[in-house]
Amino acid sequence: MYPEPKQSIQVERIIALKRYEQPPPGYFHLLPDRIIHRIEYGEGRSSFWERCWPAFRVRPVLAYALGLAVCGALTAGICCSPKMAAAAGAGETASGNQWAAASTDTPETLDTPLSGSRWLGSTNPVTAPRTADSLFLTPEARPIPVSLFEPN
Amino acid sequence: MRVLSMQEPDTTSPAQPEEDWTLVRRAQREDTSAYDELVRRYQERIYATVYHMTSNHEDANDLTQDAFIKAYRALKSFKGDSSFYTWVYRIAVNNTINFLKQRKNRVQMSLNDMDFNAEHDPDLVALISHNTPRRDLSLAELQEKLNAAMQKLSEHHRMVVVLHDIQGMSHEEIGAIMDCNVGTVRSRLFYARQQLQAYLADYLQ
Repeated sequence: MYPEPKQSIQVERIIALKRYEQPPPGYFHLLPDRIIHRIEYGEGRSSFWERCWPAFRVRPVLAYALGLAVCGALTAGICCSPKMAAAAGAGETASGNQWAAASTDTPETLDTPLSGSRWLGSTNPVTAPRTADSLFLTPEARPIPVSLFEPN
Repeated sequence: MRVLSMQEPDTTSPAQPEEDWTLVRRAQREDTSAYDELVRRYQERIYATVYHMTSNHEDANDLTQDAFIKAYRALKSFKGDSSFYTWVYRIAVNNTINFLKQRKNRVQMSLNDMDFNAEHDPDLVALISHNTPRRDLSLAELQEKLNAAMQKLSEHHRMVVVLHDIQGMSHEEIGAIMDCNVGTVRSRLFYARQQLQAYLADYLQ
């Protein structure tokens, strides 16, 4: 199937040169001691997953059982989460928690002026605090009509 | 001095299965002296394979140690479906191929010295004297060119060349270690030799 021409035989001979490459003298006397030393000083201990893996490989029932348990826990979590959220929301409103209520308000736009007493009590990050109401706005948040403006 | 055991026929693995198995059973009960004996038995071949794959002594040293430590940690799961020799070889081969894939093209050779006997090998003497177009080529230069050519092969092709042409393993054994069929081993070997032939054309007749 694969002919071996003269050059191919020569290639094999050249490759055989590598058989003569030697590690430093005495290397193979020390190597087993180094390996055993590393094993005895902790590297020989297998990790948790390495210990578990053979059990799963030998007993697939264990692997299936674990898979089913994980799926069941996930499904139960998905089913229970809306009920839990609803219950938590109802509980908080009923207790009159003004901080929670403030955070669930619809965010106010930045244009909406805030009275000092209101913004100081708010924890809503969307409404940017202003140090004072604009000089050019009336308390009703409307621009001052030009006709009403009288310079002093 | 003894040449690395690749020249010897691969008779160790099937010759002492009972002894290996006894040592493995003891090592599974955390008897490190038994494992020490197993390491001494196979360290040269494992080191040689890794060294010829990496062309770097320091990398080969680290990878050989890692392979034996990994094998020890996985020893409890070893059921004896194959020989310990094949099993530990497989760990070393996979470990080395993963290392080489991560290293990619950053090849830094750190070659071992040639054995004294190389200068008396008639095939090599013929190659480096009057038969090659590069007559001034020294043994050390040829070693460097050969290693550089080997590093140009893909990991799987290089591994087949190392296991067959250097370690002297059969196609069947290589197939068992590399987890592929004999046909794949043969075609990889053929392709790898062709590639090497092209890379080393200047040094062939």
